[in-house]
Amino acid sequence: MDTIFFVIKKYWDLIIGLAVKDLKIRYKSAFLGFLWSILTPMFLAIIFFIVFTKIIPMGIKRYPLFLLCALFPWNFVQLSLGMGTVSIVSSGNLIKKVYFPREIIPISVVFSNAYNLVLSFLILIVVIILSGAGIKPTILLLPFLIVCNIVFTLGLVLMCAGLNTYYRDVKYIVEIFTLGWFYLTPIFYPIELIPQVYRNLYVFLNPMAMLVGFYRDVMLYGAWPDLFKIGYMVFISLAVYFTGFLVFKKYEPLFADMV
Amino acid sequence: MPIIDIANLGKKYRIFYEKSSLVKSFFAWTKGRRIYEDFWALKDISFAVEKGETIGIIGRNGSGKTTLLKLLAGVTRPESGTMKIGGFASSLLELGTGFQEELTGRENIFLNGGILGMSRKEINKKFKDIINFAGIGKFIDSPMRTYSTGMWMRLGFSLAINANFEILLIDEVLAVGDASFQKKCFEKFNQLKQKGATILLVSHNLEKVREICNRTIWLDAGICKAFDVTDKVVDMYLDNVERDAESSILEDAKELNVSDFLKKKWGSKEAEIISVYFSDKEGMAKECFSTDEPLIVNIDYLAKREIKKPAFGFGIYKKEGQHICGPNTKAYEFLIDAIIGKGKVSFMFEKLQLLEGEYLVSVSIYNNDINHPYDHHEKVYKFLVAPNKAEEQYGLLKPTGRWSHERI
Repeated sequence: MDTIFFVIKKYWDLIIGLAVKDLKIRYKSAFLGFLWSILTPMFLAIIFFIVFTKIIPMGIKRYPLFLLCALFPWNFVQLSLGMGTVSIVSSGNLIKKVYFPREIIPISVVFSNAYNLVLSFLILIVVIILSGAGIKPTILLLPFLIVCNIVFTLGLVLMCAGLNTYYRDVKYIVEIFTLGWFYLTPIFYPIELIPQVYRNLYVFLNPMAMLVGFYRDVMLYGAWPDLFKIGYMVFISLAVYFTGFLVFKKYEPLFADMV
Repeated sequence: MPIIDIANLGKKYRIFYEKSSLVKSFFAWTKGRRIYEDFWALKDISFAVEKGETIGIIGRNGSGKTTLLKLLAGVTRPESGTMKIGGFASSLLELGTGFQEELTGRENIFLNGGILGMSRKEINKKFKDIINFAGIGKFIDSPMRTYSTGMWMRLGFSLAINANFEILLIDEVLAVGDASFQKKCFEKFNQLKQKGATILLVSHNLEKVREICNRTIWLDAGICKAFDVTDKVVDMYLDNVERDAESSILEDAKELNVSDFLKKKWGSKEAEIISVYFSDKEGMAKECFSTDEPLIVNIDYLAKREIKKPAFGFGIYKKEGQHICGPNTKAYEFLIDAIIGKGKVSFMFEKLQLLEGEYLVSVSIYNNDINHPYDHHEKVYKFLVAPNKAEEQYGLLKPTGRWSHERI
């Protein structure tokens, strides 16, 4: 078990190197470059803003900020899953020729997206200050939330990347799943729309819903999250991570023969 | 203590009839039907190598040489047997595999050095050595897509030999590259040998194997036929190749040609096609070309007796079946007086006119009247033409010609 975190530590240079390569290549020939990773959720936010303040008014204060607090983390999970799932298969050439711990590939994909996530939040903080909403002391919890988000996503990505080498259907399942997951997570609507009785059960079953709630609490409302829920978040992130890692390791010996 | 100790090693590949999917394998499972076939690429291999030895690995195509190297490199796992390796193995399975063409040479050295197990610090320390050996010079900060094939390969080689390893695995990389690069590589091998590195070298170049390997493994259809002093093994191998060829002539006479048609290879085998490969102008073997690039079709043959005025030819087909061309030496009035022993015939396309796609190639040796096949390999070989990034074109060919325009 200790090898799991050991890999990240030992191969830190390489993971960062691959993540940087990823970022460099991704936006290389785009005129706006890195800006696209911020513009995509921003654009989505504008659409939701128009729909849910003008067409179906939801009556939420500071709706754009409310949206972005959830859209940035969601975007991170979705992009990481999409790119991470196919990452092993698309590095087939390398995997067949050289040995190195294979988990480095999906991990570096998550890290390159995590870099975007952190940058997005830095921009969001500036926007919150400019909008006059004011930064609350709860923001100190933000790094902790981002780490939970990353660990949780790593687990999912490792699991899907491992399975996808064996069954290429996984990629399509992931696409459909993330689409459904998006609507089932309170991203463009408030959690309060879910009936009070089910609300707790709901956030325990959908950790993203809980996480998104945390982000809003610490960024906008200045509310300290419930300690029990925080504990659960840590637990579920680690559980998903270990499960993902074990699934990945189970399939790893077959990678070179399957891709 | 041997540095490599292998006992009863076996590697099985599962060949799926079709790409597996969840649904298919579920239905196959419920019906108890198998959707795959097992194929043993290596079977019951046992040998031990002492530290500092240089070992050659020879055998025909498909005999399991590359699989053996992949197992030693840890790229794939064995199905059975035990493998004890007393040191880090660096593999030269292919030069410069992980290079990204959008990144600069410097960035690629750090990235791929990391993949080969070097830390940033180590790479910094060896950086000068790496670029000096590769002779990249001022190109080090240009994106690698601007590099020539030679530079690309040299950098790959230079990086791999500068990695930390006790065992160096080399797969056929010496068949590529120009003479001066090959010479440099061999000098480097000798240096490494003196430093006590253990080297395993897969090669079809039997002369080179004789020159640098003290012992040699001969693999045949996944089985270790011999492991002994190089000269002895190479002689046995050559002997066997010839005997095999003779016995197949007898068999051919007996058998009806129908089954040979199924095998895609037929002929009386007095002259035999030993290997066919495609290469660029420098003689570097490759399978993927671009339109307008030079392509050379190389045919290595072995004639068991003297054959007067043979006609060599080949045919190119689109994968979908369309026959594109079929040049032969006779049609080009290229007369080969006689052949005996080994030799090579090649044909150069100065500028490949074919557009993107997969192409199959038949190769044959016939008599002068082109009615008796000595050896014919029907659509056995293959090369690819990569999509052209800059311009999209439709059809089969990019014809050579010139556009002109005038106003009237």
